[in-house]
Amino acid sequence: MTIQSMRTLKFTLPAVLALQLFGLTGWGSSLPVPSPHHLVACAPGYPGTTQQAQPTMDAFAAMVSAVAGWPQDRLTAEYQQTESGGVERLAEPASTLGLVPLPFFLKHEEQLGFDPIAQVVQRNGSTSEIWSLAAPAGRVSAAGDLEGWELAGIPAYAPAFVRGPVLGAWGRLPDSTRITFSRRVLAALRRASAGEAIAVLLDSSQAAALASLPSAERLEVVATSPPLPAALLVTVGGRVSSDDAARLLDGVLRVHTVDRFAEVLDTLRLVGFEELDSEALQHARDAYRAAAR
Amino acid sequence: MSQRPPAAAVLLLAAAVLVGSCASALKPLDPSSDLGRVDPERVDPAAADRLAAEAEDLFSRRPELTPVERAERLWLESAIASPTSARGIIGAVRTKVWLAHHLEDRARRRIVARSAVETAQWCGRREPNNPACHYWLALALGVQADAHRATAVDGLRHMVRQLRRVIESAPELEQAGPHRILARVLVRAPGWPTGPGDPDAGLEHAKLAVQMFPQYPPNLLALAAAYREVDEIEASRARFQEALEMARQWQQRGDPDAGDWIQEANQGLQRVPAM
Repeated sequence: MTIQSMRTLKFTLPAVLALQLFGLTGWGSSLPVPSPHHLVACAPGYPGTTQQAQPTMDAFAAMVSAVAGWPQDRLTAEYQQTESGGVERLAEPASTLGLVPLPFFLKHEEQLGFDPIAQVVQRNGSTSEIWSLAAPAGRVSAAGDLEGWELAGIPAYAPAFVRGPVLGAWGRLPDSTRITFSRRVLAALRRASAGEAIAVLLDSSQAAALASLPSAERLEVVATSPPLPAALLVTVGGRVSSDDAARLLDGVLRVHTVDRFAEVLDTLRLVGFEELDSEALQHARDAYRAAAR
Repeated sequence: MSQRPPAAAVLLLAAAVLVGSCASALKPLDPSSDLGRVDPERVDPAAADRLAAEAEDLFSRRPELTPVERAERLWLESAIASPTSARGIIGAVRTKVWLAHHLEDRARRRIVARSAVETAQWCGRREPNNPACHYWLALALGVQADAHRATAVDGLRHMVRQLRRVIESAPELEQAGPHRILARVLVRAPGWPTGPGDPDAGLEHAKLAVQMFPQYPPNLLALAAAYREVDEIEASRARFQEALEMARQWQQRGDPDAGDWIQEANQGLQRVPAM
């Protein structure tokens, strides 16, 4: 082997191996082919099915590809409405990105290897969600009053999220409080207004609309959470290169400035993305881990 | 005219997913359009009857697309030939709603869906107290919400209003269609406060539809879907199974929509976890 050929080998072999490791090319191809990305959006408790959401997710993928400067078909996306469906799909090697609400993130961060990139700006312009706990009027003044009660709500699929980040500052919920996932918030509020021992977690839009319910006077908000990051764009399982992650972040931070993307963002109930509030996220993590112990 | 909606009507009301923007679902009507003005030279009640009969015959050949597309045109011609009657318009909306669900081309579906709403609005102009006009406007809004997501929030709100109105005056219309479709909307739409979704209320309407017409498979499908949404899985599975068997009987009798019902029942059974 000549020095020249050794030099060539020295520089080309690691490059080819690296490309292969990241799935960027195959032997025999003359140009590196960028690895595909697949994003799984998961919002347990919210309406819609994978099939119904697909046109919106296709539009979302095209939008993200455009702002990241990727070829249009490099990113695909899908929606999963259930926690188990989301976990299953995100665990697959092809899934590289996720768009998930905070309770889902905290519950599955370690298992699925999430690494947050950006946080969602909701339609109300806020990156935060404040959860409110509604209960039958006059029956609950402290966390301890929920002894033997049911506590229902959409984020309750992650009980430690409810006990920790949401209500931890209010007080320690009794062990006998049953935290039950329910997407049927209105039905739960009807039960509460009928005097049943049930408290209901409301997101900010639900809390704002509480007064408009016919049964509003039989209900009261007894606790509110601190502002918590609402939803996060994450990489999954370390399957995104740092270069791609940087391009993605740079792109999504600008997405709200492109008029033609307004409709797809609005359909997803977003107005855009912002950089992570790492401090707020770490507080939520700490509270979650303390409650999960 | 058959008193039964095409399968599309019961399948289409998905619209619920990730509903966002708030474009107006109803648009101002153009009085210079064919349906908005009376052309004395085209008024011909006998021709209107003949065209309606021919359109009905063509529509019965669904799921073949070409005859249905021709039926749509004939219904419209019938409506123009009989400018005070809602019959032709109702027929046209039925075919448009069906097409909006069955056309492969998304762009064409969007056009047909929007046109269904506009046509249904003319129905209400001609016969404001005809419950079928309100019913078919509700269905047209449903397909439009599905095809043009930006209209979904406003469209679902109008849909619920129209269907509640028909429930008061003609709950039996289209084999308890108002209860059945309202059940579909309440089960699938985004929940309070974003949208009218309320699966528990939807279940009650589905039960009423089945009570009124227990032998009609779409009513059982609506009930099965409602049970699924309130997590009564065993009841959901049983109703899907019942709907499947009933739909097969309707298929044996030559019903053109039975294939859609069978497909929905099978999909429903796949989605309901086994006990």
